[in-house]
Amino acid sequence: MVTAKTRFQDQLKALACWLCYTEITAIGAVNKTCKMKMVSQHFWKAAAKAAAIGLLLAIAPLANAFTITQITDNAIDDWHPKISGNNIVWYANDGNDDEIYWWDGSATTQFTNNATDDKFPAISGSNVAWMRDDGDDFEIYLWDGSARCRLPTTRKSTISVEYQVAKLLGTQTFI
Amino acid sequence: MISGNNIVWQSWDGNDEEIYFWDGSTTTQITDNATYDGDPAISGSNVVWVAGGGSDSEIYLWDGSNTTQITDNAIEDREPAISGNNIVWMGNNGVDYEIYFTTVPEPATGALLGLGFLALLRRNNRNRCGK
Repeated sequence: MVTAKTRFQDQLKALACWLCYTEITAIGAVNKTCKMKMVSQHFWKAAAKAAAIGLLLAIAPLANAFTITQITDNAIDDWHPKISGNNIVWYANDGNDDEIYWWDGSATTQFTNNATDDKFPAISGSNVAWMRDDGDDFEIYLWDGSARCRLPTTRKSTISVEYQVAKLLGTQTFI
Repeated sequence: MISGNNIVWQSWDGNDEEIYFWDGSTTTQITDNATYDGDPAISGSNVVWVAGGGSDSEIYLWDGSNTTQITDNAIEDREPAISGNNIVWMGNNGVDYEIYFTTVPEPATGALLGLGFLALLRRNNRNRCGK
């Protein structure tokens, strides 16, 4: 009579057979059957493997999980982040007006510091472009990694920062 | 938004906004659901966008074949940007907007871990049989 207990034991033995298939194959070369005596000798090893595989299956999804880092932690709004490689730029109000901030992968620095609004930065490599209020309206400014300059444009703030950066760097063709 | 020959944009499908991708020859509709999908950004074949809208929007990633939800919280996440595998966005922490950052995990990390482990088990088995 097959009881639940014996069925469970058979299932355990079958699991042990499957997990120890290398040894069973070697035995089978002689006997063509899975000898339960031999299986029992390997049972705890098989159980250890099953536990290890279970642990692996539990850990594997964690290896593919997103790790989210909070770059800013202050009492003001931080707006419009853009990224290039490990560098992130955004703008926030410094208590007086909007300024550009830069995170280089490890630390944050205030990129602009003046009495006028600097907004909507874009970044590509070491080039940063953004909008600055020059007193009349917004103009496009560029930091090329060593110096800041105002871009020559007549259309001023009607042109997006991204457009100007791409055009200046020659990464896109505009018609 | 454009990256190389790849272009991504949002468009109305008759019900709501969805994300579309063009690889230089073929257009693929990345999203097809009953919620808002918008504000996409692209780097290579990686596309990020905002889904849900409102005060509990989330950031999603499409890697060229599969879609993964990056954020899963009760706050508004918006304006994602991407460079390679690095992703940044702004989220409202209940007080104000802050900047958040993450990196796309290497998809093979878990698989390699598992294959390495199983290979180790096989080697142990062979060594034992060889005795």
